[in-house]
Amino acid sequence: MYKKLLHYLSITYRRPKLTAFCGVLVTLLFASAIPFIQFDNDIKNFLALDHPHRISNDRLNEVFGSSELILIGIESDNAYSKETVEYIKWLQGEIEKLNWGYPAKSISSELKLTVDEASMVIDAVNRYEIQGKDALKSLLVNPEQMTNELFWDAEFSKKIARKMKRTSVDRLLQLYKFPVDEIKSVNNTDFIRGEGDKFVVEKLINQDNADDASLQAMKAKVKSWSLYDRLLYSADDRLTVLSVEMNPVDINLRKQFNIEVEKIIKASPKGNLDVYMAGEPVVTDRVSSSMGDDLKRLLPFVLLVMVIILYLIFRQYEGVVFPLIAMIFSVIWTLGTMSILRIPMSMVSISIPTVLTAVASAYGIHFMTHYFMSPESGRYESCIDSMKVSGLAIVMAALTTVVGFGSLATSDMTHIKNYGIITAIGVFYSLVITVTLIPAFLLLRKNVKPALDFVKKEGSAKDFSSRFLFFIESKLGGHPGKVLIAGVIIVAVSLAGMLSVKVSMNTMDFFQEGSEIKNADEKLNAKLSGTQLLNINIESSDGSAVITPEVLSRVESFQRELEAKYRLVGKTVSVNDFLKKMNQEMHGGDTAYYKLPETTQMAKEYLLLYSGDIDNMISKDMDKIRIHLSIKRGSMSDLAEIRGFALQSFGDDFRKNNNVAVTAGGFLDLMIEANILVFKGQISSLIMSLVVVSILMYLIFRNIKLTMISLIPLLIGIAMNFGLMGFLNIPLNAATALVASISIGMGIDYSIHFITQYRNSMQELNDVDKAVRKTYEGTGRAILSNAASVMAGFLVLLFSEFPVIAQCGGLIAFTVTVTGFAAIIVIPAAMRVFNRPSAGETQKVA
Amino acid sequence: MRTKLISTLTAALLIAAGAVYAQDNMSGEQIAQKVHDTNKSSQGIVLKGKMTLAGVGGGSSEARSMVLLAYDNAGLSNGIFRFTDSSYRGTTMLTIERKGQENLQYLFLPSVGSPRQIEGSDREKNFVDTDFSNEDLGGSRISDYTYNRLPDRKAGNYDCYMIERFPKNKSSKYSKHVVTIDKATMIPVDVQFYAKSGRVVKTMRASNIKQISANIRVPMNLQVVDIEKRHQTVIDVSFAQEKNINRGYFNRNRLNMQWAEQ
Repeated sequence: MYKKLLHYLSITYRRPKLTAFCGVLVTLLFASAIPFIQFDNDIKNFLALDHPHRISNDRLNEVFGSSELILIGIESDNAYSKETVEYIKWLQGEIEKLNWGYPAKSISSELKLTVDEASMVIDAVNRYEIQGKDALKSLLVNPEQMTNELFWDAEFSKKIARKMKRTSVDRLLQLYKFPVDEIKSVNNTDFIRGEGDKFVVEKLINQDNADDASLQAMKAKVKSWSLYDRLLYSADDRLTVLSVEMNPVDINLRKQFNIEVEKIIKASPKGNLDVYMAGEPVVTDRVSSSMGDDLKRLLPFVLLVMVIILYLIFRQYEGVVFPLIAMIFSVIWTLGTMSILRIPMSMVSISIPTVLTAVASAYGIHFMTHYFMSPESGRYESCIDSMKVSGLAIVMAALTTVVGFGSLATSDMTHIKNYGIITAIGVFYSLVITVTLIPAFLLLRKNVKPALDFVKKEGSAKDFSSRFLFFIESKLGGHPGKVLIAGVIIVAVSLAGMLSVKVSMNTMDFFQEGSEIKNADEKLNAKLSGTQLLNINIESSDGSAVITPEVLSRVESFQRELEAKYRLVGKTVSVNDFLKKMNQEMHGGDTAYYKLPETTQMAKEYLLLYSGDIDNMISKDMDKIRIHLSIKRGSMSDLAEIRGFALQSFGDDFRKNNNVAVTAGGFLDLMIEANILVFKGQISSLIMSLVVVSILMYLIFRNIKLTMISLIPLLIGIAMNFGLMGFLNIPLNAATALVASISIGMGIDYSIHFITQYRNSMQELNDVDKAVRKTYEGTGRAILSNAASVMAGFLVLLFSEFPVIAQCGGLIAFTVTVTGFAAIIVIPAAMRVFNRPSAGETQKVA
Repeated sequence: MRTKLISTLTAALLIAAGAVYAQDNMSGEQIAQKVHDTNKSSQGIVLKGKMTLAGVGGGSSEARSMVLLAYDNAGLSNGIFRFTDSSYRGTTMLTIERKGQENLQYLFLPSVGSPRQIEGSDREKNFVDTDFSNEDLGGSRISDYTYNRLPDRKAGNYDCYMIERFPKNKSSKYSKHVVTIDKATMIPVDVQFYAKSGRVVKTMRASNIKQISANIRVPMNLQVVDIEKRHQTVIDVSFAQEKNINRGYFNRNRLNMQWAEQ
């Protein structure tokens, strides 16, 4: 089969111009798609669309509204000042304007219409959306109907019908949505009071008339009801918050919206006011927007490092330029594919370009090493020779890497699944580019093939690689047993470190200490009740009202217990807080009546009387209630414990007796689920990768012993990776969870190259020691060079703006290097101990 | 002009349709005033029917029986609305129009026991859990808005005036209402409520207009749709009659009493 492949490759080698032209053309096509690549770090999208928590969250958000909040903190000497109230009024107005104009802008950009034309489309959607998607669709593709019913000009109707043939109604409805559902601040927060036979629900202040008296009155109202404490105002009266409730809109629209809000804030600073912007949508969108910049900044450095490494290896420009072209093309093809397949770039996939650079460099190094080492002087013959010597190993190594990364496609976490798929595709591209385009470009060269120094020095033990490998062989070659024991000890020590590895994926970990977003988040968490939201939803199983005294009193005790037990829980708010206040005000403001109503009917009627906005706490039919928990930043295990306690507080008996279901929801719930998936995914992807790689190894070597030996460097690398994580307190998150899989995918290549060459050498020399030495001379050098280039490439990620990416880069560099060294140290030792051929086998080989 | 239930269901009944053909040079405000002044009965009107609350396009629905009584007192409307079954049985809303002053509205809830006055700032809020606002039940006055007349148009079989009205109150959640009024009966047959975002967020439609006495016409079906919440409330009138009704019912302290008309 490989002969067939070689035959086809030789055909492309005979037409290098055509091959190179096709390669460049494909590269240009993929490159043209890259600017449209999307970024998505929304925690919700880490979970698959059919994840039960995601489904439940989406369903309940339909009832209670979204729990995605942008928090804008405004701090000054006195948060009750006229200046603050007026600033909030101004800012709220600006955000509203931006919000209301957004759909027209988005539709105008998507459908290539003027903003006025887009506004006409919006009017049509506004009128017909309520009749359902089908009615809207049938309207917007029918010019006659549009002209008749919307009184549009016939030409405009035809234009819209044409546009709608290329855009789905779902997409139009996405763009039609306002990014913001509601903006809440001191200026539109409700206050409840009784006045004679009136039950008054009024705003804390009339923002159009913020004089000294009304500001004083507002402060008195805020102080009179504990509900506002640290939810609306900080305890030191210096900070107040404006909450922007986001609709579930397209992630890129939301990101753009956040950027524009930030611009509004920064463009008009107010002398005495410090403004902080935080909240999960801001954090995740900031990761996305900074990630692109980070990638643009780091990738050239990765390539520069590769250039240096390639130069140090080959000391000749052909050895640098052609592998470099392969790296760049691989990255372009892969990113182009991501864009075309609409697979977004995430905090997980940010390492893909570096991984592909490393993979392509490895294949390029192997190909070029054997190309230069070929005794043939002609370029064509040398290419064929290189493919004959190293091609099979490169193909096998690539295919195992493809399968290794492809096994991540089984992950339940969307971003990891996407990572597996796209990296597998990218590795395949690297292979194709290495075996077709590098030779094609080499064959276009008119001059003669250069003779390189390291080829001349081969076996002379004068260059660094040869001296190093000779050193290893001379010092360790005679002690294979000790080498293996040392390996076992290293694994055992690593296992000890592994035990202290914690799972913690927290979006804030992506930012460095002192960064603007981290400062804002810390400020708001310190002064307010917490920037992370967890919801507990209680819903009736039979549609009856859920506000019975039994349920409400349990909710009440739960709120008190939770606040007392966990310092991270800054505040809990439920419909109870409003019912108690209403009860008090219905009894002339007597504080003795700040308690829950005694009957379901009374609670119901209080809520009928209440004209304020509590839609985010109780459903219209009163069959569902939501308890809001504001939580400060903490470790994931603490947050998971809080969720566990919350759910246990409404145990089976409570659920059964009251005929209710209790679920968790909100950002933190999804975050905790994502962390669980990271942990589960880590175990399953490791097992899956190892199983798949083992099968492939067996298919390649057809030998159980060799298969087991090929896995030893991987196991040492993985163990040391987790050990290092434990000792350095690096958490397991979506990015670091991939290190083990990446190491398997890339590290297995070393085993394949080493064992393949060793077997060839054995066939030729029929002596283990000689075969090992021979393998060191060729493949050992390539493995060392490759490990060095991969390490250097990933070490560049240490300069990432994101600590998580830096940790990930450092760990991959460490693990792949360890795996490379393990391959050249432990495999020979294992061969000597476990795979020394018997006398019979020796004869057979001979 | 009022886009309220009173105006569409009761006040609209009190003036003979034939007498109300308005002059075509009227301003928006004059048309609104005309709507207010037509279809009124000093004797009294009784309407009975079902109010159905449901999601738009499916989902659970709930039907409640309701009774509405109204009469005109020297050009000022008085109306009282009550649910007569379901868990909302006895919930009653009284509206009293006052000359030159804000209309008075009281809500009586049986468990709470005493009627509560509806604050002026709550007029745009929903009437209990329905999609009607308190204002729709008679809470607003002509002078609460400024008006603009739009070109007349045909709406189905109705030849209509079109006006838009803008709330004077800055804190109103609506930027304007666009009202379509049947010229023949001066009954608003369609009202579009625009939010400040510029989008229609609520619609109210009256249909199946019937003459129940010599001078009174009543829309037998009234539908309010909350577009944002995708929820609707529909009133189907099954009984409509002009008759003398007990004025004693229209007293905030007697909102718990039984009516003969129930």
